[in-house]
Amino acid sequence: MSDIWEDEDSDYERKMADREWNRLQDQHGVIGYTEGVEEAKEQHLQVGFDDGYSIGASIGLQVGRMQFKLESLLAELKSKQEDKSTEQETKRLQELYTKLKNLKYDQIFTKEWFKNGHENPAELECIVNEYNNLTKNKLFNP
Amino acid sequence: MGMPVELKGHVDKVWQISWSPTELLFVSCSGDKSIRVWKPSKPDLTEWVCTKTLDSAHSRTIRSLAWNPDGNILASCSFDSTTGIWEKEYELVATLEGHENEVKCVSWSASGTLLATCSRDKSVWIWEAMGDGDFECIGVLQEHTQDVKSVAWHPHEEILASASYDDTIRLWKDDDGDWFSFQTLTEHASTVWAIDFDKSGDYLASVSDDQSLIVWKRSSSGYEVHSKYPNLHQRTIYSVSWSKQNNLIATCGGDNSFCIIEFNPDAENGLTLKKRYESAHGDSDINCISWCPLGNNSDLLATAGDDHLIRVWKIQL
Amino acid sequence: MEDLIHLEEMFHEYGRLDGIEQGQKSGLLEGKVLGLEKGFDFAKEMGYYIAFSEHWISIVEQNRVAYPERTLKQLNNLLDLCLTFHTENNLNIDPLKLMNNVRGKFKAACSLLKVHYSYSDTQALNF
Repeated sequence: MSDIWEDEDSDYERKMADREWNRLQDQHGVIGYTEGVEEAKEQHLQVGFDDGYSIGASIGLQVGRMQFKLESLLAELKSKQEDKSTEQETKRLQELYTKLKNLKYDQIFTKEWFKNGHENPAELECIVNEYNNLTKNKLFNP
Repeated sequence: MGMPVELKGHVDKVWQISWSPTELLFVSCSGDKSIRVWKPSKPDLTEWVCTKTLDSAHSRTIRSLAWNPDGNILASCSFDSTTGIWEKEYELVATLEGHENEVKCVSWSASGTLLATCSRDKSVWIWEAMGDGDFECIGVLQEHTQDVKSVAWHPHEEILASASYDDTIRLWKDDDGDWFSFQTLTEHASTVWAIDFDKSGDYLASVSDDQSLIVWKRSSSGYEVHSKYPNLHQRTIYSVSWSKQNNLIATCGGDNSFCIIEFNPDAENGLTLKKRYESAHGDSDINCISWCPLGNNSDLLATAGDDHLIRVWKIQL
Repeated sequence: MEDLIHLEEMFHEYGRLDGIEQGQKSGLLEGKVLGLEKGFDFAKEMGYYIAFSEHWISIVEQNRVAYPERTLKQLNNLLDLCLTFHTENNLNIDPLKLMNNVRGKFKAACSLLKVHYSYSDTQALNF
Protein backbone atom coordinates (compact mmCIF):
# COMPACT_ATOMS: atom_id res chain seq x y z
CA MET A 1 0.00 0.00 0.00
CA SER A 2 2.77 2.44 0.83
CA ASP A 3 4.28 1.98 -2.67
CA ILE A 4 1.23 3.49 -4.33
CA TRP A 5 1.40 6.50 -2.11
CA GLU A 6 5.07 6.88 -2.79
CA ASP A 7 4.50 6.92 -6.59
CA GLU A 8 1.75 9.46 -6.30
CA ASP A 9 3.90 11.62 -4.12
CA SER A 10 6.86 11.67 -6.55
CA ASP A 11 4.49 12.34 -9.47
CA TYR A 12 3.03 15.25 -7.62
CA GLU A 13 6.45 16.57 -6.74
CA ARG A 14 7.57 16.42 -10.33
CA LYS A 15 4.49 18.31 -11.47
CA MET A 16 5.08 20.90 -8.79
CA ALA A 17 8.70 21.22 -9.83
CA ASP A 18 7.69 21.73 -13.46
CA ARG A 19 5.17 24.34 -12.52
CA GLU A 20 7.72 26.09 -10.35
CA TRP A 21 10.25 26.01 -13.19
CA ASN A 22 7.81 27.59 -15.64
CA ARG A 23 6.77 30.18 -13.14
CA LEU A 24 10.37 31.22 -12.53
CA GLN A 25 11.05 31.31 -16.22
CA ASP A 26 7.99 33.44 -16.95
CA GLN A 27 8.48 35.84 -14.12
CA HIS A 28 12.22 36.44 -14.12
CA GLY A 29 12.77 35.72 -17.76
CA VAL A 30 10.25 38.30 -18.86
CA ILE A 31 11.59 40.94 -16.51
CA GLY A 32 15.09 40.30 -17.79
CA TYR A 33 13.90 40.42 -21.37
CA THR A 34 12.20 43.78 -20.93
CA GLU A 35 15.31 45.21 -19.29
CA GLY A 36 17.48 43.92 -22.09
CA VAL A 37 15.27 45.38 -24.80
CA GLU A 38 15.17 48.82 -23.21
CA GLU A 39 18.90 48.93 -22.61
CA ALA A 40 19.89 47.81 -26.09
CA LYS A 41 17.27 49.83 -27.92
CA GLU A 42 18.38 53.13 -26.40
CA GLN A 43 22.03 52.41 -27.12
CA HIS A 44 21.34 51.65 -30.75
CA LEU A 45 18.84 54.39 -31.61
CA GLN A 46 21.59 56.93 -32.19
CA VAL A 47 23.63 54.54 -34.32
CA GLY A 48 20.54 53.72 -36.37
CA PHE A 49 19.67 57.41 -36.66
CA ASP A 50 23.10 58.42 -37.91
CA ASP A 51 23.04 55.61 -40.44
CA GLY A 52 19.59 56.59 -41.73
CA TYR A 53 20.47 60.26 -41.65
CA SER A 54 23.44 59.91 -44.04
CA ILE A 55 21.44 57.85 -46.48
CA GLY A 56 18.44 60.18 -46.33
CA ALA A 57 20.60 63.26 -46.61
CA SER A 58 22.60 62.22 -49.66
CA ILE A 59 19.41 61.43 -51.52
CA GLY A 60 17.63 64.51 -50.20
CA LEU A 61 20.39 66.76 -51.53
CA GLN A 62 19.93 65.31 -55.00
CA VAL A 63 16.17 65.75 -54.92
CA GLY A 64 16.41 69.33 -53.68
CA ARG A 65 18.82 70.27 -56.45
CA MET A 66 16.49 68.78 -59.04
CA GLN A 67 13.55 70.66 -57.58
CA PHE A 68 15.37 73.99 -57.97
CA LYS A 69 16.54 73.29 -61.49
CA LEU A 70 13.02 72.36 -62.60
CA GLU A 71 11.54 75.46 -61.01
CA SER A 72 14.13 77.56 -62.80
CA LEU A 73 13.50 75.84 -66.09
CA LEU A 74 9.73 76.19 -65.81
CA ALA A 75 10.06 79.90 -65.08
CA GLU A 76 12.24 80.27 -68.12
CA LEU A 77 9.81 78.39 -70.38
CA LYS A 78 6.84 80.36 -69.13
CA SER A 79 8.54 83.61 -70.00
CA LYS A 80 9.12 82.50 -73.56
CA GLN A 81 6.54 82.07 -76.26
CA GLU A 82 4.88 78.73 -75.86
CA ASP A 83 3.93 76.72 -78.90
CA LYS A 84 2.17 73.40 -79.30
CA SER A 85 5.40 71.43 -79.46
CA THR A 86 6.64 72.51 -76.06
CA GLU A 87 3.26 72.35 -74.39
CA GLN A 88 3.42 68.62 -73.70
CA GLU A 89 6.96 68.86 -72.43
CA THR A 90 6.14 71.78 -70.17
CA LYS A 91 3.28 69.78 -68.72
CA ARG A 92 5.56 66.85 -67.90
CA LEU A 93 8.11 69.20 -66.37
CA GLN A 94 5.40 70.78 -64.24
CA GLU A 95 4.23 67.35 -63.07
CA LEU A 96 7.71 66.24 -62.15
CA TYR A 97 8.37 69.53 -60.40
CA THR A 98 5.19 69.28 -58.34
CA LYS A 99 6.05 65.69 -57.49
CA LEU A 100 9.48 66.67 -56.22
CA LYS A 101 8.15 69.61 -54.28
CA ASN A 102 5.76 67.35 -52.40
CA LEU A 103 8.04 64.34 -52.14
CA LYS A 104 8.22 62.74 -48.71
CA TYR A 105 10.94 60.42 -47.47
CA ASP A 106 8.67 57.40 -47.22
CA GLN A 107 7.85 57.56 -50.89
CA ILE A 108 11.50 56.82 -51.60
CA PHE A 109 12.30 54.63 -48.63
CA THR A 110 9.34 52.33 -48.96
CA LYS A 111 8.58 49.12 -47.09
CA GLU A 112 10.01 47.23 -50.06
CA TRP A 113 13.25 49.14 -49.85
CA PHE A 114 13.59 48.19 -46.20
CA LYS A 115 12.80 44.59 -46.89
CA ASN A 116 15.19 44.27 -49.78
CA GLY A 117 17.91 46.43 -48.31
CA HIS A 118 18.48 48.03 -51.70
CA GLU A 119 21.18 50.57 -52.12
CA ASN A 120 19.34 52.57 -54.77
CA PRO A 121 15.65 53.15 -54.12
CA ALA A 122 13.59 52.28 -57.16
CA GLU A 123 11.47 55.38 -56.93
CA LEU A 124 14.54 57.58 -56.98
CA GLU A 125 15.82 55.92 -60.14
CA CYS A 126 12.48 56.60 -61.82
CA ILE A 127 12.62 60.23 -60.84
CA VAL A 128 16.20 60.70 -61.96
CA ASN A 129 15.50 59.06 -65.30
CA GLU A 130 12.46 61.26 -65.94
CA TYR A 131 14.48 64.30 -64.89
CA ASN A 132 17.34 63.46 -67.24
CA ASN A 133 14.98 62.84 -70.15
CA LEU A 134 13.20 66.13 -69.71
CA THR A 135 16.26 68.28 -69.16
CA LYS A 136 18.55 66.73 -71.74
CA ASN A 137 18.78 69.59 -74.15
CA LYS A 138 17.87 72.45 -71.94
CA LEU A 139 20.05 75.35 -71.05
CA PHE A 140 19.57 76.86 -67.66
CA ASN A 141 20.04 80.49 -68.44
CA PRO A 142 17.61 83.36 -68.20
CA MET B 1 -6.13 124.76 -21.44
CA GLY B 2 -8.22 122.97 -24.03
CA MET B 3 -6.10 119.85 -23.80
CA PRO B 4 -6.41 117.07 -24.64
CA VAL B 5 -7.31 117.89 -28.20
CA GLU B 6 -9.35 115.31 -30.00
CA LEU B 7 -8.47 114.64 -33.63
CA LYS B 8 -11.20 113.05 -35.69
CA GLY B 9 -10.72 111.81 -39.19
CA HIS B 10 -9.84 108.17 -39.36
CA VAL B 11 -12.77 105.80 -39.79
CA ASP B 12 -11.20 102.76 -38.20
CA LYS B 13 -8.86 102.10 -35.28
CA VAL B 14 -5.76 104.26 -35.29
CA TRP B 15 -2.67 102.10 -34.91
CA GLN B 16 0.26 104.45 -34.79
CA ILE B 17 1.57 107.98 -34.79
CA SER B 18 4.93 109.28 -35.85
CA TRP B 19 6.04 112.82 -35.01
CA SER B 20 8.20 114.61 -37.51
CA PRO B 21 11.72 115.09 -36.11
CA THR B 22 12.06 118.49 -37.73
CA GLU B 23 8.72 120.28 -37.64
CA LEU B 24 5.64 120.38 -35.51
CA LEU B 25 3.47 117.81 -37.21
CA PHE B 26 2.77 114.13 -37.04
CA VAL B 27 1.38 111.38 -39.23
CA SER B 28 -1.07 108.69 -38.22
CA CYS B 29 -2.06 105.38 -39.74
CA SER B 30 -5.16 103.28 -39.41
CA GLY B 31 -7.22 100.19 -40.13
CA ASP B 32 -8.97 102.40 -42.69
CA LYS B 33 -5.87 101.94 -44.91
CA SER B 34 -4.98 105.61 -44.85
CA ILE B 35 -2.24 107.86 -43.56
CA ARG B 36 -3.17 111.30 -42.28
CA VAL B 37 -0.94 114.30 -41.76
CA TRP B 38 -1.80 116.53 -38.81
CA LYS B 39 -0.68 120.08 -38.07
CA PRO B 40 -1.72 122.55 -35.40
CA SER B 41 -4.07 125.23 -36.66
CA LYS B 42 -3.78 127.39 -33.56
CA PRO B 43 -0.64 128.70 -31.86
CA ASP B 44 -1.77 127.35 -28.50
CA LEU B 45 -2.01 123.93 -30.11
CA THR B 46 -5.60 123.44 -29.02
CA GLU B 47 -6.69 122.77 -32.54
CA TRP B 48 -5.16 120.49 -35.15
CA VAL B 49 -6.19 119.79 -38.70
CA CYS B 50 -5.62 117.01 -41.11
CA THR B 51 -3.72 118.58 -43.99
CA LYS B 52 -3.42 115.49 -46.11
CA THR B 53 -4.86 112.00 -46.44
CA LEU B 54 -2.94 109.30 -48.28
CA ASP B 55 -5.19 106.39 -49.02
CA SER B 56 -4.25 104.61 -52.18
CA ALA B 57 -0.95 103.02 -51.35
CA HIS B 58 -1.89 100.04 -49.22
CA SER B 59 -4.63 97.51 -49.70
CA ARG B 60 -4.96 96.65 -46.02
CA THR B 61 -4.52 98.17 -42.58
CA ILE B 62 -1.49 100.41 -42.24
CA ARG B 63 0.10 99.32 -38.99
CA SER B 64 3.11 101.54 -38.47
CA LEU B 65 4.84 104.69 -39.71
CA ALA B 66 8.26 106.18 -39.24
CA TRP B 67 9.96 109.40 -40.27
CA ASN B 68 13.63 109.23 -41.14
CA PRO B 69 15.95 111.34 -38.93
CA ASP B 70 16.00 114.17 -41.52
CA GLY B 71 12.24 114.30 -41.59
CA ASN B 72 12.04 114.12 -45.36
CA ILE B 73 11.22 110.45 -45.97
CA LEU B 74 8.29 108.60 -44.46
CA ALA B 75 8.00 104.83 -44.29
CA SER B 76 4.64 103.08 -43.87
CA CYS B 77 4.10 99.39 -43.31
CA SER B 78 0.96 97.40 -43.80
CA PHE B 79 -0.91 94.17 -43.28
CA ASP B 80 -0.72 93.87 -47.06
CA SER B 81 2.90 92.74 -46.46
CA THR B 82 4.50 95.78 -48.09
CA THR B 83 6.35 98.85 -46.87
CA GLY B 84 5.73 102.17 -48.60
CA ILE B 85 8.37 104.87 -48.99
CA TRP B 86 7.12 108.45 -49.35
CA GLU B 87 9.18 111.47 -50.31
CA LYS B 88 8.72 115.07 -51.36
CA GLU B 89 5.24 116.14 -50.39
CA TYR B 90 4.02 112.65 -49.71
CA GLU B 91 4.68 111.07 -53.04
CA LEU B 92 4.95 107.29 -52.98
CA VAL B 93 8.34 106.53 -54.50
CA ALA B 94 8.82 102.87 -53.62
CA THR B 95 7.07 99.79 -52.32
CA LEU B 96 9.28 97.28 -50.55
CA GLU B 97 8.20 93.68 -50.85
CA GLY B 98 9.48 90.51 -49.32
CA HIS B 99 7.61 89.79 -46.11
CA GLU B 100 5.22 86.88 -46.36
CA ASN B 101 2.41 88.47 -44.43
CA GLU B 102 1.47 91.42 -42.16
CA VAL B 103 4.28 93.89 -41.56
CA LYS B 104 3.96 95.11 -37.97
CA CYS B 105 6.55 97.83 -37.54
CA VAL B 106 9.07 99.97 -39.37
CA SER B 107 11.99 101.92 -37.94
CA TRP B 108 14.89 104.04 -39.23
CA SER B 109 18.43 103.85 -37.90
CA ALA B 110 19.97 106.96 -36.37
CA SER B 111 22.03 107.65 -39.48
CA GLY B 112 18.97 107.35 -41.71
CA THR B 113 20.73 104.86 -43.97
CA LEU B 114 19.09 101.71 -42.62
CA LEU B 115 15.46 100.72 -42.34
CA ALA B 116 14.15 97.77 -40.36
CA THR B 117 10.79 96.06 -40.79
CA CYS B 118 9.29 93.14 -38.89
CA SER B 119 6.38 90.86 -39.51
CA ARG B 120 4.04 88.09 -38.46
CA ASP B 121 6.21 85.89 -40.66
CA LYS B 122 8.67 85.94 -37.69
CA SER B 123 11.40 87.72 -39.59
CA VAL B 124 13.12 91.07 -39.36
CA TRP B 125 14.31 92.62 -42.62
CA ILE B 126 17.05 95.21 -42.82
CA TRP B 127 17.20 97.52 -45.84
CA GLU B 128 19.79 100.04 -46.89
CA ALA B 129 18.57 103.31 -48.38
CA MET B 130 20.60 103.78 -51.56
CA GLY B 131 18.98 107.08 -52.48
CA ASP B 132 16.23 108.03 -54.94
CA GLY B 133 13.76 105.64 -53.42
CA ASP B 134 16.07 102.68 -53.97
CA PHE B 135 16.40 100.21 -51.10
CA GLU B 136 18.50 97.08 -50.98
CA CYS B 137 17.78 94.21 -48.66
CA ILE B 138 20.92 93.53 -46.68
CA GLY B 139 19.57 90.93 -44.33
CA VAL B 140 16.60 88.76 -43.45
CA LEU B 141 16.80 87.70 -39.82
CA GLN B 142 14.87 84.60 -39.00
CA GLU B 143 15.56 83.89 -35.33
CA HIS B 144 12.37 84.81 -33.52
CA THR B 145 10.03 81.86 -33.15
CA GLN B 146 6.83 83.89 -33.40
CA ASP B 147 5.27 87.08 -34.76
CA VAL B 148 7.63 90.07 -34.39
CA LYS B 149 5.69 93.05 -33.06
CA SER B 150 8.16 95.89 -32.98
CA VAL B 151 11.62 97.04 -34.00
CA ALA B 152 13.60 99.99 -32.66
CA TRP B 153 17.10 101.24 -33.42
CA HIS B 154 19.66 102.41 -30.90
CA PRO B 155 19.78 106.25 -30.99
CA HIS B 156 23.45 106.36 -32.04
CA GLU B 157 24.82 102.97 -33.05
CA GLU B 158 23.72 100.47 -35.63
CA ILE B 159 22.16 98.17 -33.09
CA LEU B 160 18.61 97.00 -33.55
CA ALA B 161 16.15 95.70 -30.96
CA SER B 162 13.13 93.55 -31.88
CA ALA B 163 10.19 92.47 -29.70
CA SER B 164 8.12 89.37 -30.27
CA TYR B 165 5.12 87.22 -29.48
CA ASP B 166 7.73 84.63 -28.44
CA ASP B 167 8.17 86.66 -25.21
CA THR B 168 11.71 87.74 -26.05
CA ILE B 169 13.59 90.81 -27.17
CA ARG B 170 16.49 90.26 -29.52
CA LEU B 171 19.38 92.55 -30.15
CA TRP B 172 21.09 92.60 -33.51
CA LYS B 173 24.24 94.01 -35.01
CA ASP B 174 26.34 93.31 -38.03
CA ASP B 175 29.73 91.79 -38.66
CA ASP B 176 30.99 92.96 -42.01
CA GLY B 177 27.53 93.06 -43.51
CA ASP B 178 26.36 89.83 -41.91
CA TRP B 179 23.60 90.60 -39.39
CA PHE B 180 23.19 88.40 -36.35
CA SER B 181 21.52 88.33 -32.97
CA PHE B 182 24.04 88.96 -30.22
CA GLN B 183 21.63 88.74 -27.34
CA THR B 184 18.20 87.44 -26.41
CA LEU B 185 16.44 89.11 -23.46
CA THR B 186 14.04 86.76 -21.72
CA GLU B 187 12.58 88.40 -18.65
CA HIS B 188 9.00 89.04 -19.81
CA ALA B 189 6.41 86.34 -19.15
CA SER B 190 4.44 87.01 -22.27
CA THR B 191 4.42 88.79 -25.64
CA VAL B 192 6.67 91.84 -25.76
CA TRP B 193 4.73 94.47 -27.66
CA ALA B 194 7.08 97.43 -27.85
CA ILE B 195 10.54 98.73 -27.01
CA ASP B 196 12.18 102.12 -26.96
CA PHE B 197 15.68 103.31 -26.11
CA ASP B 198 16.45 106.32 -23.93
CA LYS B 199 18.36 109.29 -25.33
CA SER B 200 21.77 107.75 -24.64
CA GLY B 201 20.95 104.26 -25.82
CA ASP B 202 22.35 102.86 -22.58
CA TYR B 203 18.86 101.99 -21.42
CA LEU B 204 16.06 100.13 -23.14
CA ALA B 205 12.41 100.10 -22.05
CA SER B 206 10.12 97.21 -22.93
CA VAL B 207 6.43 96.60 -22.39
CA SER B 208 4.48 93.41 -22.52
CA ASP B 209 1.28 91.46 -22.45
CA ASP B 210 2.41 90.51 -18.93
CA GLN B 211 1.36 94.07 -17.96
CA SER B 212 4.82 95.09 -16.86
CA LEU B 213 7.40 97.65 -17.90
CA ILE B 214 11.07 96.68 -17.74
CA VAL B 215 14.06 98.94 -18.13
CA TRP B 216 17.28 97.24 -19.22
CA LYS B 217 20.73 98.63 -18.73
CA ARG B 218 23.62 98.21 -21.11
CA SER B 219 26.62 96.33 -19.81
CA SER B 220 29.78 94.99 -21.38
CA SER B 221 28.06 91.88 -22.69
CA GLY B 222 24.76 93.43 -23.71
CA TYR B 223 21.67 94.50 -21.81
CA GLU B 224 20.48 93.27 -18.45
CA VAL B 225 17.47 93.97 -16.26
CA HIS B 226 17.77 97.18 -14.28
CA SER B 227 14.25 97.92 -13.05
CA LYS B 228 10.86 96.27 -13.30
CA TYR B 229 7.37 97.65 -12.80
CA PRO B 230 4.92 94.74 -12.66
CA ASN B 231 1.18 95.40 -12.99
CA LEU B 232 1.75 98.86 -14.35
CA HIS B 233 -1.39 98.35 -16.41
CA GLN B 234 -4.41 96.13 -15.82
CA ARG B 235 -4.16 94.64 -19.29
CA THR B 236 -1.64 94.29 -22.11
CA ILE B 237 0.68 97.25 -22.56
CA TYR B 238 0.84 98.01 -26.28
CA SER B 239 3.23 100.88 -26.64
CA VAL B 240 6.09 102.68 -24.93
CA SER B 241 7.70 106.00 -25.71
CA TRP B 242 10.83 107.27 -23.98
CA SER B 243 11.10 111.00 -24.47
CA LYS B 244 14.53 112.02 -25.71
CA GLN B 245 13.82 115.48 -24.36
CA ASN B 246 12.36 115.18 -20.87
CA ASN B 247 13.45 111.58 -20.21
CA LEU B 248 9.97 110.51 -19.12
CA ILE B 249 8.57 107.14 -20.15
CA ALA B 250 5.00 106.93 -21.40
CA THR B 251 3.07 103.66 -21.73
CA CYS B 252 -0.45 102.82 -22.88
CA GLY B 253 -2.53 99.71 -23.20
CA GLY B 254 -5.61 97.58 -23.26
CA ASP B 255 -6.85 98.94 -19.95
CA ASN B 256 -7.69 102.17 -21.77
CA SER B 257 -5.21 104.18 -19.76
CA PHE B 258 -1.78 105.66 -20.19
CA CYS B 259 0.97 106.26 -17.65
CA ILE B 260 3.86 108.65 -17.20
CA ILE B 261 6.83 107.10 -15.44
CA GLU B 262 10.05 108.59 -14.22
CA PHE B 263 13.27 106.60 -14.34
CA ASN B 264 16.14 107.05 -11.95
CA PRO B 265 19.16 105.02 -13.05
CA ASP B 266 20.86 105.32 -9.68
CA ALA B 267 18.04 103.78 -7.68
CA GLU B 268 17.80 100.03 -7.35
CA ASN B 269 14.27 100.04 -8.61
CA GLY B 270 14.30 103.23 -10.54
CA LEU B 271 10.75 103.36 -11.91
CA THR B 272 8.24 105.73 -10.33
CA LEU B 273 4.71 106.20 -11.61
CA LYS B 274 4.09 109.94 -11.84
CA LYS B 275 0.62 110.03 -13.29
CA ARG B 276 -2.03 107.73 -14.69
CA TYR B 277 -4.69 108.89 -17.13
CA GLU B 278 -7.68 106.56 -17.03
CA SER B 279 -10.19 106.16 -19.83
CA ALA B 280 -8.00 108.29 -22.02
CA HIS B 281 -9.88 107.00 -25.05
CA GLY B 282 -13.07 106.07 -23.22
CA ASP B 283 -13.60 102.32 -23.31
CA SER B 284 -11.12 101.81 -26.09
CA ASP B 285 -7.69 100.27 -26.19
CA ILE B 286 -4.89 102.74 -26.70
CA ASN B 287 -2.60 101.37 -29.40
CA CYS B 288 0.18 103.90 -29.50
CA ILE B 289 1.68 106.65 -27.39
CA SER B 290 4.36 108.98 -28.60
CA TRP B 291 6.25 111.98 -27.22
CA CYS B 292 6.90 114.95 -29.45
CA PRO B 293 10.67 114.95 -30.16
CA LEU B 294 10.99 118.72 -30.53
CA GLY B 295 12.74 120.66 -27.80
CA ASN B 296 10.11 123.39 -27.65
CA ASN B 297 7.24 120.94 -27.39
CA SER B 298 8.64 118.27 -25.14
CA ASP B 299 5.48 118.28 -23.06
CA LEU B 300 3.33 117.17 -25.98
CA LEU B 301 2.17 113.60 -26.10
CA ALA B 302 -0.05 111.94 -28.68
CA THR B 303 -2.16 108.82 -28.21
CA ALA B 304 -3.99 106.73 -30.80
CA GLY B 305 -6.98 104.56 -29.98
CA ASP B 306 -9.35 101.87 -31.14
CA ASP B 307 -12.03 104.58 -30.99
CA HIS B 308 -10.67 105.97 -34.30
CA LEU B 309 -9.39 109.03 -32.47
CA ILE B 310 -6.08 110.66 -31.80
CA ARG B 311 -5.59 112.78 -28.75
CA VAL B 312 -2.85 115.32 -28.19
CA TRP B 313 -2.00 115.97 -24.55
CA LYS B 314 0.09 118.54 -22.75
CA ILE B 315 1.74 116.78 -19.84
CA GLN B 316 2.33 118.77 -16.72
CA LEU B 317 3.43 116.86 -13.65
CA MET C 1 17.18 28.30 -1.06
CA GLU C 2 20.48 29.19 -2.72
CA ASP C 3 19.59 27.01 -5.66
CA LEU C 4 16.33 28.89 -6.04
CA ILE C 5 18.01 32.26 -6.19
CA HIS C 6 20.54 30.93 -8.67
CA LEU C 7 17.66 29.77 -10.82
CA GLU C 8 15.97 33.16 -10.70
CA GLU C 9 19.15 34.93 -11.72
CA MET C 10 19.72 32.46 -14.49
CA PHE C 11 16.29 33.00 -16.03
CA HIS C 12 16.69 36.74 -15.67
CA GLU C 13 19.98 36.65 -17.49
CA TYR C 14 18.73 34.45 -20.33
CA GLY C 15 15.79 36.77 -20.75
CA ARG C 16 18.06 39.79 -20.74
CA LEU C 17 20.30 38.39 -23.45
CA ASP C 18 17.30 37.65 -25.64
CA GLY C 19 16.04 41.12 -24.98
CA ILE C 20 19.33 42.72 -25.86
CA GLU C 21 19.33 41.03 -29.21
CA GLN C 22 15.78 42.16 -29.92
CA GLY C 23 16.38 45.66 -28.60
CA GLN C 24 19.42 46.11 -30.76
CA LYS C 25 17.46 45.23 -33.87
CA SER C 26 14.50 47.42 -33.10
CA GLY C 27 16.68 50.32 -31.94
CA LEU C 28 18.69 50.29 -35.13
CA LEU C 29 15.56 50.11 -37.24
CA GLU C 30 13.63 52.74 -35.38
CA GLY C 31 16.63 55.03 -35.41
CA LYS C 32 17.20 54.46 -39.08
CA VAL C 33 13.62 55.32 -39.98
CA LEU C 34 13.79 58.53 -37.98
CA GLY C 35 17.20 59.41 -39.38
CA LEU C 36 16.08 58.83 -42.95
CA GLU C 37 13.21 61.23 -42.49
CA LYS C 38 15.19 63.97 -40.81
CA GLY C 39 18.17 63.65 -43.13
CA PHE C 40 16.02 63.61 -46.23
CA ASP C 41 13.84 66.58 -45.27
CA PHE C 42 16.74 68.72 -44.17
CA ALA C 43 18.99 67.90 -47.12
CA LYS C 44 16.22 68.33 -49.67
CA GLU C 45 15.73 71.93 -48.63
CA MET C 46 19.47 72.52 -48.40
CA GLY C 47 20.01 71.03 -51.87
CA TYR C 48 17.49 73.47 -53.28
CA TYR C 49 19.33 76.47 -51.83
CA ILE C 50 22.71 75.12 -52.91
CA ALA C 51 21.50 74.75 -56.50
CA PHE C 52 19.97 78.25 -56.29
CA SER C 53 23.26 79.77 -55.10
CA GLU C 54 25.40 78.03 -57.68
CA HIS C 55 23.02 78.96 -60.48
CA TRP C 56 22.86 82.65 -59.60
CA ILE C 57 26.53 83.02 -58.72
CA SER C 58 27.43 82.00 -62.25
CA ILE C 59 24.87 84.38 -63.74
CA VAL C 60 25.90 87.34 -61.61
CA GLU C 61 29.60 86.72 -62.21
CA GLN C 62 29.02 87.08 -65.91
CA ASN C 63 27.06 90.29 -65.58
CA ARG C 64 28.01 92.05 -62.38
CA VAL C 65 26.79 95.51 -63.34
CA ALA C 66 23.23 94.30 -63.71
CA TYR C 67 22.95 93.57 -59.99
CA PRO C 68 23.57 95.48 -56.76
CA GLU C 69 27.20 95.38 -55.73
CA ARG C 70 26.61 93.33 -52.63
CA THR C 71 24.78 90.55 -54.51
CA LEU C 72 27.74 88.32 -55.24
CA LYS C 73 29.04 88.50 -51.69
CA GLN C 74 25.63 87.65 -50.29
CA LEU C 75 25.25 84.70 -52.66
CA ASN C 76 28.67 83.39 -51.70
CA ASN C 77 27.85 83.78 -48.01
CA LEU C 78 24.68 81.78 -48.60
CA LEU C 79 26.54 79.03 -50.43
CA ASP C 80 29.29 78.86 -47.79
CA LEU C 81 26.68 78.55 -45.08
CA CYS C 82 24.84 75.79 -46.94
CA LEU C 83 28.08 73.90 -47.39
CA THR C 84 28.61 73.69 -43.64
CA PHE C 85 25.87 71.10 -43.88
CA HIS C 86 27.21 67.59 -44.28
CA THR C 87 25.47 64.35 -44.91
CA GLU C 88 26.86 63.01 -41.65
CA ASN C 89 24.74 63.91 -38.70
CA ASN C 90 26.56 66.48 -36.60
CA LEU C 91 25.29 66.78 -33.04
CA ASN C 92 27.09 70.09 -32.55
CA ILE C 93 25.03 71.90 -35.14
CA ASP C 94 21.57 73.11 -34.28
CA PRO C 95 19.71 72.18 -37.47
CA LEU C 96 16.82 74.59 -37.00
CA LYS C 97 19.12 77.52 -36.33
CA LEU C 98 21.21 76.71 -39.38
CA MET C 99 18.17 76.33 -41.60
CA ASN C 100 16.62 79.59 -40.38
CA ASN C 101 19.88 81.36 -41.10
CA VAL C 102 19.98 79.84 -44.58
CA ARG C 103 16.33 80.67 -45.27
CA GLY C 104 16.95 84.28 -44.27
CA LYS C 105 19.96 84.62 -46.55
CA PHE C 106 18.02 82.99 -49.37
CA LYS C 107 15.18 85.50 -49.05
CA ALA C 108 17.63 88.40 -48.94
CA ALA C 109 19.34 87.10 -52.08
CA CYS C 110 16.01 86.75 -53.90
CA SER C 111 15.24 90.35 -52.96
CA LEU C 112 18.55 91.63 -54.36
CA LEU C 113 18.18 89.56 -57.54
CA LYS C 114 14.55 90.64 -57.85
CA VAL C 115 13.44 87.04 -58.40
CA HIS C 116 10.76 84.92 -56.78
CA TYR C 117 11.55 81.43 -55.67
CA SER C 118 9.93 79.35 -53.01
CA TYR C 119 11.08 76.03 -51.66
CA SER C 120 7.72 75.27 -50.18
CA ASP C 121 4.31 76.86 -50.53
CA THR C 122 3.19 75.69 -47.16
CA GLN C 123 4.60 76.54 -43.76
CA ALA C 124 8.33 75.88 -43.67
CA LEU C 125 9.38 72.61 -42.16
CA ASN C 126 10.39 72.56 -38.55
CA PHE C 127 13.08 70.34 -37.21
